[in-house]
This record gives sequence, C-alpha cells and structure tokens, in this order.
Amino acid sequence: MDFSFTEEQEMLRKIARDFLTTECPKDLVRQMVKDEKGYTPELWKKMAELGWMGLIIPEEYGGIGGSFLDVVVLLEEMGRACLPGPFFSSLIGTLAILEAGNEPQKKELLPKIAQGELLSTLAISEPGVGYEMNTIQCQAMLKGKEYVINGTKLFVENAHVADLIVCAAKSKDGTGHQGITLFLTNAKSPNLTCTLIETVAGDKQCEVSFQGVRVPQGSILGELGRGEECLKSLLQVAAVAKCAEMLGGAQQVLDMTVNYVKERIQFDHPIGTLQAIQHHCANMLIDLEGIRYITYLAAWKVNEGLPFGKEAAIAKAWASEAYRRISDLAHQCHGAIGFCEDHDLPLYSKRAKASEFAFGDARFQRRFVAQEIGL
Amino acid sequence: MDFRFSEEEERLREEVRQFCQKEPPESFPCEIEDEGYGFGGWSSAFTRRLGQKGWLSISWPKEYGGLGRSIMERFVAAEELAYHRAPQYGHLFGDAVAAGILGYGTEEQKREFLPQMARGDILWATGLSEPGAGSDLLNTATRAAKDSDNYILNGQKIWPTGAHLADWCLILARTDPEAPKSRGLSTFLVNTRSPGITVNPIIDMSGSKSFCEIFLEDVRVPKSCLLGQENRGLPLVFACLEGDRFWGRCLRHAGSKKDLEELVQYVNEASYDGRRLKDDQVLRDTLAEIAVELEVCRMINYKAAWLLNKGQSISWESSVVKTFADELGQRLAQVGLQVLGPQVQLREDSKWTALRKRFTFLYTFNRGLSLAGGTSEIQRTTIALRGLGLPRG
Repeated sequence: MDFSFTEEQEMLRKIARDFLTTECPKDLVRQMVKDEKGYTPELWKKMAELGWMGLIIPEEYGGIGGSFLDVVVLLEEMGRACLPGPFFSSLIGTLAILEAGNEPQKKELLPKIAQGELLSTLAISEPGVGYEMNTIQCQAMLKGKEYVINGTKLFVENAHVADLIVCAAKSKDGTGHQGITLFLTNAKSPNLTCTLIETVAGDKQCEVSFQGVRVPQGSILGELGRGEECLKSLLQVAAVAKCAEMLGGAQQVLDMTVNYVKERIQFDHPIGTLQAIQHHCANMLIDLEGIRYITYLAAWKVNEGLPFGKEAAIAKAWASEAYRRISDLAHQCHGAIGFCEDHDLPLYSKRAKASEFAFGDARFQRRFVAQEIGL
Repeated sequence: MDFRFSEEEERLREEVRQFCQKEPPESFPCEIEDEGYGFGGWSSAFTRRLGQKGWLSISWPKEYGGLGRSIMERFVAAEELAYHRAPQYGHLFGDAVAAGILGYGTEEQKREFLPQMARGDILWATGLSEPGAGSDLLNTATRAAKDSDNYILNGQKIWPTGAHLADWCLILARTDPEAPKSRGLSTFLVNTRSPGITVNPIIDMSGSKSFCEIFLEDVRVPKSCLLGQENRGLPLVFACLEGDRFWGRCLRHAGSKKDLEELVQYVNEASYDGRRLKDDQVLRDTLAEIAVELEVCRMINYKAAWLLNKGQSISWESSVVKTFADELGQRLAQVGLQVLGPQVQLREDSKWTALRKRFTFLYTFNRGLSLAGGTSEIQRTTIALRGLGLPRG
C-alpha cells in the first residue's frame, strides 16, 4: 500500500503549480470566460514547451512517455488554477487516438499533438442524448470510398478551436450489423458548422452540426461498427481525468475558504473561531478527502492497466456531488463577497457544476454501479 | 502509488479467511451482539480463540507476547475478520489500553499485562466519561487520592462499553485538584473486581446491554497500577482515543459490505405491489449510493492505516475516519429499512427474518454511533482545528 506520488511526480506538481500561479492568474481566467476563443496562444505555447500536451504520448510519437498518474498530477494543478482552454478536451481526443488509432494515424497525428500544433476533441452527446451510446442518432453512411456523416453533436468542448473532432456515429458494417464507429473528422470540413453554446461556467462548449460531412475511410478510428467498447472505456478514463481536475479545484476552494475565515473579522474575532463555520470547513475537508483517495484508486487502476470501470464510476459519482457540496459550503462561508462576479470563488463553483455533468453525472454513474454490485 | 497489499499481508488475509471457514465466527457465543460499528459483537470465547492464534497482538513486540508484525498486517486481519462478521468487540478496548501500556507503561506493567492480553485471558473496558464529563473530558471529577503505596479512587464513570464483562478497566481520575484542569489527571489500571467497585449495565434504546456505569467507592489501587506519570494522563488518554476513533471505526467498509450484499440479494428476489424491487430505479440508485460511499470509506480508512503503518501518528485523520464511518452506518441502516419496507413486519419463519432483525436493530442502535467515542461535532471541531488550522474559539 502506498498513497504517495514519486519524487518526479512531486517535482512535476511543483513546476506546474509555480508555472500556473505566474502564467494563469485569476484575471486571465476571468478574461477567458468572456473571450470567444477561451485561451491565449501565448500560454498554450508555453505549456507546449513544457511538454504537457505530449506528456501521455509515447516517445516514439514525439511525446514524453509519461504515465496516467503523471497526467493526474498535472490535471490536479490545472483544476487548482482553474486553467481555461482546450488542454482537457484535447487530452481526451488524444487518448482516443492512443487507444484506438492505427499506426499511420498515430504517426501522423501524435507528434503534432505533442508539439501543441494540433487540437482535438471528442463529440458524443446529442440533443436528448447524454452518454448512453445506444441512443446515439448521428449516422455515417458509406458512399463510394467515403463516409457521409449527418447529425448534431452537443457539448463538444472547444470544437470551435479544434483541428480534429473525434465523432461517434452509428454505421453499418458489411454484414449489416449496426454499431458505433469513431471518425477522425477535420473540424474545418465543408458542411460542418460549429456554434458556441453559452454555458454557466463560460467553458467553451459547442454545438457541432454535421450536414453531409464527408470523411475518407482511412479516418475510421478503431474498428468499423465496433467502437462501443472503446468509447465506453474512453469515457471512463475521461471521467477519472475529470475527477483529478475536480480534486484540484476542490482543494483550492477549501484553501481559499480556510484563508478567508481566518481573516474575516466579525464580533471582534475571525469567523473561523465559530463552530458553525468550523464544521462547514470540516465537512468540506471530509468530502475532499473522499474525492482524493477514490480518484487516486481509479487513476492507479487505469495506470496499471487493471479493470477500472467500476472504480471510475464510483469516483465520478462521489466527486460530482462532493465538489458541489464543497463549493456550496465555500459560498456560505464567504458570505456576500463570494457572490460577486469579480471574486475567484464563482469561477470554481461554476466549474464544479459543469464538471458534475461531464462524462456522466452522479446518477448516470450510479446506474452503472448498481449493475456492478449485482442489481 | 500502489493500492495492492503486500504478499505477506495477502497471505495473512488468506489464513484468516480459511480460519473463518473452518471455525465460523457465528458459532462462538456472544455476550454483546453486533452493534454495527463494523467490528462485530463481543465474544469472550472468540477473543480467546484469536488469542491462541496470536491474532490479538499481531503488531505488538514479540517480547511481550506479540507477533512483531506490521500495523498493516493487523489491519488486514481485522478487515478480513470484519467481513466475516467475526466478533472483535471483546478485545477492541484492550487494544487501545495496550497502546497506552506500550507507550507509557513501566517494564513491569508491560510484562504483567501484555502477555495475558495477547492470550485473550483478560478483557478491558475504558472508563473516561462521567456524568459531568462527556465531550468535556477535562471536567473529570473522579478523584484519586494518594495514600502511602495506594491511590484511593472515588467517583462515577459512565458509558464504558462491556465494563460488566471486562476484568480490568482503564480509569481516568483527578490526582491534583489544585492544578489547572488539564494538568491534574492520571490514568489507572483498575481491576473491576476490586472492593468498592459497582458495575451496572445500562439498557440503551435498542435494548442492547453494552454501555455501563461504574461507581467507585474508596477503591484501593496500588501505585504500581498508575499508568504513565502522575498528573500527565491526558496524552495517554488521547492515544487511547485514537484507538477508539480509528480502530473502532476503520472496519466499517468491511463490516457493512456484507450488509449491502444481503440487501442486494433481497432486492433481486423480492417483489412488492406486483413490481419487482430490482426494477425500482430509486432503490437501485439508493443502493448504488451506499456502494459508492462504502468504497470512499474504504479508501479513507486505508489512508489512515497506511499512515499508522509508516509510524506516523494520526489526529484529525482518525476524526475523518470516525465521522465518515458513523454517518455512513446511519445512512446504511436507514436505507436498509427503506429497502425492506413494510416487509420488516415479516413473519418469524420468513427467509428474510435475520436481515429484517439486523436492520431494525441497527436502525435504533446506530443513533449512538455518532456519539460514542466522541460526538461527530467534537470530531468536526478536531478536523477544523488540527486538520485545517482554524483558530480556537
């Protein structure tokens, strides 16, 4: 049993924290919420120079060859800094290519991703469709040597700045079996339109409309009509990655709150001396401890190549509700000042809400857990 | 990062598993039934049997009758026993007292008490609370007055679990009434058969008889039974409380795993109002929520066990363990009754009678979980002060 990170991972954490403290101040985060693009190319370039986009990519494809746990460390720090931009969404696209891509696809795409030159994202949800794959409506039909995709995808994160959209669509294989196929779609394809959706957190979610978008057969990621297993596992990894980001955010929310209640004077004393406040803070720490270790368990299983579906669902179910509880209590402890748009806290509490839904909310996860416990 | 157990730990777990199959824990008579803390009921016979196996003293030094193995091995054995609902209550408090004796006792005390405790020959209770000193332990009024080679104890203790079954009791008493409240307290190892001691069990709202009250009237305790330094009893008591808060709660995930499995089995088989329970989405969600919480609880407990195993002491961490475990236990009992529904009124010959009895009992007893060994409010204050460094009020 070992709950600790390696020295290298602790070093990565320190570098990431220092870097993001300097390069990603809250004013920038606030600016990016209102900015249409949602990130600055300068910061993106600096992150690429640190090798972060290539952290999970093997060296043979121009990456650093880090482990999933390394990425978890980085995501925690990004969550803590409330980093805006397409790092997370592109990571999920990258994981899809790593998981299902064939050799030519990996050779072509991964080095560019590692350099920070190519942004990808994943398109699954649709109007009325969350993450239940059998309800996907988007269709891909074979026409000659190309597939033609028709359908609407919702909540495609950062699609407006992505180069590559990994799109899940229904298609038939040669035997007539209908299944999910993942397509590597050029985001700038004709007949593909991308519209930003206004969200609470100001994260850049898009509606992507495919109206006869043509993709060559070589753009199929993984097996034709057999993408469901791959997609399921990808969503589960994404959920764990999201938990890591949420963990960092929740930690920062608690730290901010503890600092505030130590300094805020009412009745001649810091409000942190009041048990009502102390118990709010204790509840936040209990929830946070839960997020931390359940996330590490799931992440470690991913890292070791062990079956992790159940742990991923449990982690996301817990983190989704615990992070929301933590940010609710943080608001209560901060009082009216935390209610202001200029304050840092809303950046986090809005993200907490957005994260709750990403890759399946608590109820979605518990539906899976119920099966796993034999119901 | 690695969440596997070591080979030695897994070997011990397997040994415990086989032992539980060969000698089913439920075949041992219990003096106190399983109250749902996670560590099972109180069975003097089972505790003695574990003593024969050497499993009461896994992590104690060999020279005092221990096996000299790691804390993680001790934890793994307890966890496996808990999953089999083995009664471990009978030696829980002895474990806490042993920590006190190992940390603060004289060589004579170690040699006299520990080997007997390792065998399960003597059982313990801990007498800390008093009618006027519950959460506020510093208000302890029981008096220990020096009289040549003895101390004379007078006062009243309340809530020590199993004191009516225990041979010995750790007693916190005031040796210096003039000193500031925290400075005049000492701890004593007191034989419960000493003249002047009266022990009465208290029947709690579940009908269980586990808590007691102890009256001390001119009880003569030899100086050799003072544990630790005179007037320096508090650190020792906190060390024992760590035992109560961590070891008394760290098995929740294992003890309750079986409860969840049984509820799942019930839901899979039972129908109500012409509908199969397993098709009820609310019930499915509710049980999945318990499964999620049990897994979170398991990891919180592992983290604390890992720290202890590294030789680190834990303070607020054990309060997190306790609060999470106790409140989860209460939710589980509530969910259990919700799942069983009106079926809790099933006839005695129903297949589910045992499950129904267990949950109706747990439901009432579990009100006490978040009180015993320090209320959840005291735990939260500890977490805020020591875990987050908030200023004292």
